[in-house]
Amino acid sequence: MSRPTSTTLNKLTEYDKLQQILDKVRDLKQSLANIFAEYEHGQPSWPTILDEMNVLSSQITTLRASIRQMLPLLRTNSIIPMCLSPENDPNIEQLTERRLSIFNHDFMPQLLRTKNLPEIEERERVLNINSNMNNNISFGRTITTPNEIQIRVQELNSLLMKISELFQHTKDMTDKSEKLFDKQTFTNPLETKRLLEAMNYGIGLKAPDTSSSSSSPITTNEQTNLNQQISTQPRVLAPPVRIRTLPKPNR
Amino acid sequence: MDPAQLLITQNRAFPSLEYVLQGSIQDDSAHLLKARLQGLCDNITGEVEQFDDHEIVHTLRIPGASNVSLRVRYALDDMPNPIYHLRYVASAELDKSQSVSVRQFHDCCVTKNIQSFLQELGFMYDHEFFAKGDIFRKGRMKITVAKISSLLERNRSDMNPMQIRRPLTASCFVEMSLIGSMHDDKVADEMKTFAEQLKPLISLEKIDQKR
Amino acid sequence: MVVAIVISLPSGSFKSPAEAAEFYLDKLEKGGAKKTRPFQVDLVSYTPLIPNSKVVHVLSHSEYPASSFAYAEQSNCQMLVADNTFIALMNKLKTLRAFEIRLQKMEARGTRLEYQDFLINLGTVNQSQTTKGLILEVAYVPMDETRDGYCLIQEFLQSFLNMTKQTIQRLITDQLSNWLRSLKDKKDSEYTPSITLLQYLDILLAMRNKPNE
Repeated sequence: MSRPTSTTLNKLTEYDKLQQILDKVRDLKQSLANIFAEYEHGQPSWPTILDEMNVLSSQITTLRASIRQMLPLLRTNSIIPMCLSPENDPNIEQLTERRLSIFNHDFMPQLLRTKNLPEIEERERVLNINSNMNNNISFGRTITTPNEIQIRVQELNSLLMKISELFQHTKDMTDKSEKLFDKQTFTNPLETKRLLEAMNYGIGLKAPDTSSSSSSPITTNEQTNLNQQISTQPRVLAPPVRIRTLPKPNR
Repeated sequence: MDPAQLLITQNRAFPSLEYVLQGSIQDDSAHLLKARLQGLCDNITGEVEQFDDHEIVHTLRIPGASNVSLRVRYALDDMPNPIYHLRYVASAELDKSQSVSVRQFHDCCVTKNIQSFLQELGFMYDHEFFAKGDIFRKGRMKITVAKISSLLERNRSDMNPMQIRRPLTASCFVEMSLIGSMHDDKVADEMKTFAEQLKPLISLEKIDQKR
Repeated sequence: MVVAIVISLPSGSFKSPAEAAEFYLDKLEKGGAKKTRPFQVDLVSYTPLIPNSKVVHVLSHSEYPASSFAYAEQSNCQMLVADNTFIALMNKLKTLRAFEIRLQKMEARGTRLEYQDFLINLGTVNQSQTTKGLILEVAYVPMDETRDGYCLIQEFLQSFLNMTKQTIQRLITDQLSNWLRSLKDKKDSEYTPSITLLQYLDILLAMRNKPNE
């Protein structure tokens, strides 16, 4: 990769800083490799070990210092995944020296919300451990004697039993949680009805003047309406009513 | 048309239509709904817009026709000089083909003496309530999640915001509305698809016409 | 922030109100006022169809294009100031048969002139094609202190239009004189545009009831 030329001589671009850190990391790796190379020729002498440890520690310190400088920059920048694919990506392989060949969801779980819940990860881990424990049998063995066949059949049967138990267990657990989820309601239809009536038609909000507000609005709807009508009558400027009494016709 | 006339007649608006869907959610699950809405809706600053309104409904009884209601609404945050809104909402139109409720709607800002003005016109105090909650917006849609409360004791003065409120129910009222004109066909679909995304938590429905 | 006086100018000595308008316009322009744009004031009255209701007058003024002013007759509440969509709301009430428009619409149309800090609106009042009279509004823009503003405007009228103090006092509307009288008790006499519109209302109502010339 070619380095872009910096605009001023003194100011290092962020890219240059990253390159410096990369160089330091490379040197660190080199010295670590040297240490292991030393061991191949037998136990090295104490002074050599000391020397190499010194080199390592100084390299680590400089690396830490340069990262600490970069830290504000790193905090403000986010790492953007380039391309998630379940296929092998030769570029990624080359860059990470064959440590990572597939840039997929397993590697970048957090940003893309495909990471499982911790409970589920725990369950998976337990299952994997159990399966590893049970997988001491190598399936590539050739079957020779009838005894071995018998033993093999028994082992397979016990495996099957374990697997079916596991399935049953998981099914129970997920069923329970699903049922809980189904039962979990977020709305109360009665209250919905009350709210809708109140907002759209004012039912349930017309409290009478004399506060008898302890009664629930639904059952005493007519009562509250009646109360309001009665209480509002004296305030309305009703036209005066003259009552004429007609004499009853005598029979 | 000379400029003065233009100035005057510029905003004599025809009544616009409001497309509405309503529902409710229990108080203890309200935070789930709000989290989901925060993720789905336009969210510029990261803070949710809150409101605290007092709405008073006045009704006029017209002989020979149905009653007319006008709503006076103001924000309690604006005290001591709040802006009063006068709202007219018609009852929803009966339209079985539409998946959302449509109703005519009118809004006007007025001064404080609106209540006495309406009294003079013959409008009588009907009921009032408080609505306190959050507003979320997505494009043209507006979704409000509000707790509706009524007064413990009725008090006609509008300068007393510290009245004791009693919540109406243990649920929050959720309303999704959009203001559009007559020929917006896609609006109903837009609203319905958004409502689908809130489905397991709440179901937003049209306004029930039975009453 | 404005203090304004609205008066109806006597046009008896002229052949027609239009001529009177021309005359006054001329005078003002010779005095140094500059024409800016046309102005218009509308009055629509809604009569109620239900008992216990009052007549509602809705006014709009081109100087305040975003507002409507509403007033319920014979009530002691002040003028309601609303958005200019208020008239659509009243029309909605009309559709719902709560109100109807029985009386004819009144309009005052004319020109708006500016003379330094004064704003002058001079126009003729029409009621469906018949001219009813002449109306003049003089506003002093920079302040809203009624008493001082009123005196200033009086001086302006005296110098520009040769009106005597008595004439002015005779011509100002009841509303304004009531307002001025009530100010004796108050310390702060802040003027609001709704008072201008109240004066307009008074004059327009009087002109509506006046028989045609």
